[in-house]
Amino acid sequence: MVNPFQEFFAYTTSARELPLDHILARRDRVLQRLLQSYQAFVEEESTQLVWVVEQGALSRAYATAVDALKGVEFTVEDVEDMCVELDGANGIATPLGAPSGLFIAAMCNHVQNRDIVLNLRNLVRRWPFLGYRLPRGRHLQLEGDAGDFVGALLEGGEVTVTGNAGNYAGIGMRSGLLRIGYSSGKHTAEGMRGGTIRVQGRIAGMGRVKRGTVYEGNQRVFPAEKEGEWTGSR
Amino acid sequence: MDWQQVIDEVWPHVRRKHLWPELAPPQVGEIEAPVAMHMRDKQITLNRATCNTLAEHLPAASVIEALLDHGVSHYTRCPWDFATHLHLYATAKDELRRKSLAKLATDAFIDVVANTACVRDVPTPLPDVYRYLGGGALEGTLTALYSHIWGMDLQGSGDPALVRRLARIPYLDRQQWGQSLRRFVRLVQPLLEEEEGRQRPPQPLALGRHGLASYSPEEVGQGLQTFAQHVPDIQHFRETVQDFAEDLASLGFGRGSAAGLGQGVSVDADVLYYMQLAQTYRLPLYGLPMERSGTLEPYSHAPWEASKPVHDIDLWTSFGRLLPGVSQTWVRREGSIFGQREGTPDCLVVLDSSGSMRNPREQVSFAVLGAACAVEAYLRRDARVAVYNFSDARLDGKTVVPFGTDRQAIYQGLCLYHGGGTSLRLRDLEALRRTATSPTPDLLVLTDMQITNLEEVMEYLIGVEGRITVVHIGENAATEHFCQVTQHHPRLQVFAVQERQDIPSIVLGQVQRYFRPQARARRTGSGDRGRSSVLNPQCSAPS
Repeated sequence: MVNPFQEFFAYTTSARELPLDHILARRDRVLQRLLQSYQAFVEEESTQLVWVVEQGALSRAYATAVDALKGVEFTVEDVEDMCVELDGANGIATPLGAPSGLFIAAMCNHVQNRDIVLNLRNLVRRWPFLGYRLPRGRHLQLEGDAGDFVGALLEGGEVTVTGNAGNYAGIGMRSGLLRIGYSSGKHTAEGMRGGTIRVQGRIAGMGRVKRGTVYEGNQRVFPAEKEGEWTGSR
Repeated sequence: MDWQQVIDEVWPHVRRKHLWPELAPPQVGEIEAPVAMHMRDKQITLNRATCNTLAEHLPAASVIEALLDHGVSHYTRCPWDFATHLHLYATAKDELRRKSLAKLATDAFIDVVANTACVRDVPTPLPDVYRYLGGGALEGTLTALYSHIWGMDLQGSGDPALVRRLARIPYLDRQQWGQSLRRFVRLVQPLLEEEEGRQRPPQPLALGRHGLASYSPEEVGQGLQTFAQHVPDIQHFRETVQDFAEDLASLGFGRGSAAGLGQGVSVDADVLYYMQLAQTYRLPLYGLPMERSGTLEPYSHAPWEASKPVHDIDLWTSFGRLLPGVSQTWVRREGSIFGQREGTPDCLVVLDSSGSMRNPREQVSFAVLGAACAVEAYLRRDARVAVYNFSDARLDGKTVVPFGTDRQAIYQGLCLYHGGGTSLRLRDLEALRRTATSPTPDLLVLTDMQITNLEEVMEYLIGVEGRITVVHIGENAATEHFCQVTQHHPRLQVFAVQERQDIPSIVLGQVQRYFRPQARARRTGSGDRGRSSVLNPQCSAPS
């Protein structure tokens, strides 16, 4: 008697391994490492019972984040995935506002690539401190609206926000360039000590600026333009 | 080139590779759109023009094998079924907000998944085809993506950064398709807009577009049911389904005698939503019980004796003689049934659509859904259904659908929303009730009980013949009062519906005396406790 399943019996096949599998495996591995680093950072910071945004706390938290990232090799795409992970309601990591923003800033400052593009339109949360201490030679482009303290303590890098910026944009920046596509919030350029801020739209309120240059549209608002002075930006 | 002959030679090999999918043998034909193939009701048709173009660079057998691999992969891997297709489309639409772009994005994603799964699982010349397919920026980027994730140089063109990002999406993880599609759409959105800017509506992808036509009407019906169950609200369903209105209408999902079948010209997505959702619930419906007929009817024969009356003698079996012991007389018995089996009377659905009720076209109305489930139960048993949809009936705030079996008309009547005050005009209701073919039609009332003339309504319901099922939406003082007044009525059952999960608890045509034996059993500790829990404890204690 002929076996009706003969043809099926003889059939064998094996799935190919595609580069996609390696890409995804590497992505998962790096994301896992970044999440571990983030958890270590959060645990370290959680010992501080009250997290206050002040210079000492910021420097300490940033140093902790940088320490946590040591030994992890990641790309801009990994930074994007980490942002999505922190942003998602079902993410494994616990989002913590300012510390999370500092951690993302630390990642941007230590990623292999010099040009970083983060699409904030796809994120629900508005992380503060993006572009914090961005060093010279790096360009961070933030697509969409940024949160508070964008470009804080900028150290020669270039931050571009295509949408609006929150309050305290460019706070304490030392050098570099902060471009804001639309408008910025209150206390813009608070404690600024150098560099340039260019806001294409309106500035809701200026902070106490020490040095540097601030433009609102084509108008230089700090130092204030004198009558008939040519700023070269008109 | 005799392409049909090539297909006939290659098709058994392709079927074998893909583990013998249940697809009709493919054919070759002329397709007006610039696509390589289309699938209609599980029949793949390859475009002769595309085959000729590709044959300039590749052997004919490879061209056919590659195209068939692509087509079969859509059937066996992604989108797999119509429900998945709708879910993917709804996700893309949610991101892009535009029908043409969402369709293109869904097609592109489905292509990437199907092609990648095919290249991974079976040996295929599919990548070679992509070397020679033209197209715009989107096609170029997708080809570059294939190069990246398949590890082959296919000469695609696309922004390397974009391709790197696209390559990090887990296309083959079915569980993550929704999330993956969102990421995919966000990344390719500028390319989609560019395609649309170049030509409106945008050109389909070179290997074909995916529409409803690929599925059989049964698959579409099943997909709509699944989709209706899983969408968060009626708006999502409407937004998605309206985009396929033309295709659905051509498949007969407009007006029809049955859910989703028959000829049609337009699609009311809201009606379709309730129609599909109601199919997923099966409310139990009790038939009318067998009863003694009250008349003596001839039942069997017995020998006639002289003392018995002669008028019962059956002449046909008595050999024409009147002799004791030879003649046969009829033995009469009382009839025990109305017919061969239990019957289902017609049903009059009385639906409150006043301002205090939900608008069924804005959010899921449990009253309409419950009524729809009941309608399905009656129509399944070949009974006829009438609808009396009312708000302030005294001021003509009412819609009447006479007794019938036109499902579309009944659903249209259910989905109407009047708003405003609530009063029931009992004279109208009684007039409608009397038009039923069955002498005592069932009455199904769905309301929140906030009726101006509630006392009159209660009096009417207590006096009316037939079985009455009352479903009250929500709890308030009026429902409590109603339950108290009607609690001893033997033919009236009240059910409370607070959430969608309560709907399957409704039992239609139930009368309390059916439960007497069970009630007795419960008292002795062996009753069906599950059954008792479905009844509204306030209202349905056995008398």
